[in-house]
Amino acid sequence: VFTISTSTSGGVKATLLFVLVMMKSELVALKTGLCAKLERDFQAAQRGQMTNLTQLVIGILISGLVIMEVFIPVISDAAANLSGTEGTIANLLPLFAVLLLLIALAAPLMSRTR
Amino acid sequence: MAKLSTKGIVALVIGLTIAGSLLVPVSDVFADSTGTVSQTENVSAELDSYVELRGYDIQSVNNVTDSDGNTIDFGNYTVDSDAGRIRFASGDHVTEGETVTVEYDYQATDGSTTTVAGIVPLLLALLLLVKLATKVGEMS
Repeated sequence: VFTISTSTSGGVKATLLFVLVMMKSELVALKTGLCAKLERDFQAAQRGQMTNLTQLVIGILISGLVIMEVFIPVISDAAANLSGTEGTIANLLPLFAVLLLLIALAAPLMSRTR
Repeated sequence: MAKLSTKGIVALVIGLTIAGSLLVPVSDVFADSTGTVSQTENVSAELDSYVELRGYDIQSVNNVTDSDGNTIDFGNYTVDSDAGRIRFASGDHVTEGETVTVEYDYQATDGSTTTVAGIVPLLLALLLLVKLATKVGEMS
């Protein structure tokens, strides 16, 4: 960036050298700061991923229990007294409930294996 | 590759242990709540009136016994299979309010629902495995 020729005076040379040294130290500080920030961000992302996994597993465990032990028995019991279109839709609800669980599990699994 | 800290490994192992221990009962719930389920249930008999059973879509009634353990013959009760109800006819085989034990099979889920519900515990276990495998991969 800078060219210091032999004709340049000593004072100017010294000034330019001082500016260069200052700029280098600023760049080094900037690089150090950026590295530290990246490291912090990476660790935060890792913690976030762990939290997300925990939330996901707990959520799916609870949802699974509720769907299998409450939702499906209640809907199936009610569907026994329904006929026609209402009966058809009510009979499909358990399938869609378990499909919901399946998709909730499959999506994060695929994102983690990508 | 990023190295895992000791703290991270401990957290991961604890998390996976908790998740793994919860996986077994959840898997049991899925297994016990899908397909044809055998149920033994005590009901308070009401003469000439239907009593609700916990199950629905009843496939077969295997045994009905009174409070003394004597088997009640099929002709002395009627089963509403779809709604999951049982009605005892008047007679000397059972008294009003007597505790009767009913053993029956009912269809908790059928077809695609059973298939999909059977895959869910597998995927849950796979999710834990993938997480663990990813961390092992990062360490090596």
